[in-house]
Amino acid sequence: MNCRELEQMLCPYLDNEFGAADRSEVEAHLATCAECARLVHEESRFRTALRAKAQAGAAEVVASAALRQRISLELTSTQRKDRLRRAVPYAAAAAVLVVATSAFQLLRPPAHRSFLEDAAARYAKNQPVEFRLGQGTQASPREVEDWFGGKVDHRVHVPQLRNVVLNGARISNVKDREAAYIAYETTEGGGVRRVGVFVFPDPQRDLEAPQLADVQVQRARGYNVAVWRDDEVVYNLVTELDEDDIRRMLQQQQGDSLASEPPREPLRLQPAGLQR
Amino acid sequence: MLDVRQNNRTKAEFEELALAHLDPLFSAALRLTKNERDAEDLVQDTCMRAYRFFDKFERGTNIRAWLFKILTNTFINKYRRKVKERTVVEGSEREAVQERFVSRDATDFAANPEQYFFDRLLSDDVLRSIDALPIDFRLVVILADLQEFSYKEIAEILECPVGTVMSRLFRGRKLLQKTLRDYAEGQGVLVQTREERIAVGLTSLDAYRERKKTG
Repeated sequence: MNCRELEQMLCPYLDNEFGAADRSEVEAHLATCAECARLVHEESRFRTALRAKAQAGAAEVVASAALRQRISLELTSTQRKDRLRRAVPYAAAAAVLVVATSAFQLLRPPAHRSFLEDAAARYAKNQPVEFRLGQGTQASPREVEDWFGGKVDHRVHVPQLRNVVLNGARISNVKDREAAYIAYETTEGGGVRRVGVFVFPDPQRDLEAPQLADVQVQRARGYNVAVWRDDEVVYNLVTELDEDDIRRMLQQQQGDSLASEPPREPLRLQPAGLQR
Repeated sequence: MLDVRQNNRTKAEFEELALAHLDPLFSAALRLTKNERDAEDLVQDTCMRAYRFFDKFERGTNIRAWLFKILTNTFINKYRRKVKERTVVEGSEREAVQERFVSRDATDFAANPEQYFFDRLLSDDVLRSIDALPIDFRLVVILADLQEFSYKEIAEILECPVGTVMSRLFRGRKLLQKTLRDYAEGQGVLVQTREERIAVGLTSLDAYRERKKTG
């Protein structure tokens, strides 16, 4: 270490910022250089005196009682505001619930959505139907309804959709509920498009589903889902077709009045020979 | 409600931890703002900001350094409107590098113990000299010599490298020495010899030539 380096190190040396190694290096130089030793002595004296005088003067400066009171008051009022601010989200959540129950189409509760999401997910899987109709034959809804009879506990009306071919049926689920699944196909809008209808019980009315006349079309997983209710049974129609196509398909339904379909005629079992 | 209790606990904890440092905070604020009213406002702002960000403070770490960091930031952002001051400081900091090695004579005025002026100066004079320092040097001197923070702590408070703390402290103390010496001369505390006066004059002349050459 030379004199120039020492001068650069003066402050950290005097302020005890050095480790043992650096200290001994400085001290080795000081032992051989009287000039630097004198400089260090003077600087040290200045530093000590500066700190003593400045700190003594600063110690006389204290925060006034008025300042302490001001701070204490502002802390209390800030705390009160914080409390209010923290309470607001809860109030807002409560308001959302109130709105949701009256206007579900705007703010649907998550339970309702989860049914739609699940129906859309199952539709997307495109699992094969269990009850398949012959190629090119248009099955009657009644045949499908009969097939469901005894397989599911709830009453299933097979919707008749305009310009749509009934393709088959299978037993499915929507969330934890057993559902009747009805598969359709349509060439509406170019190409073959699938339409799937899930029919499942909802006696507790967990879903916000209107009557068919006021059918709601919502988005779930990239599909459109039309939701309506027939008393304690909910219908979820899932498709990639747009809302207008869906409404057009369902028009015929409304005319036929699915919900109030006339009572089924008892099945007449007649020997083939007598039917002529 | 749990929420409210949490809120109460935080406030009580804050008051216990932070308000214990109100006097040193105010003392430093006064050196920065140079008047009591601004100093009180600065301390109040500092406390409220600290309270707002109290959840960001890591329990068990240095609350004093944390509070001084908020104090200096608040001061720099809000109370120091004179942008001009900064450019002056930057200029003199650059010069410091050259002046440092020009001559030792200027710092050797206290060679004779009988002439050591500093012991006869009043605390108020010293504080006033600190107040007269350019802000960047003043900040470092306040933190190091008044509040006795370590270089590392100061570097964290001012968000600058330790090397910058070192050079500013060196320069700040040098400026203080000069101011106090001039003051002592004016007060007749220090009787300067003719040789010394010439030495000081030569030093500044050399420094001036040096600056002209390099600048």
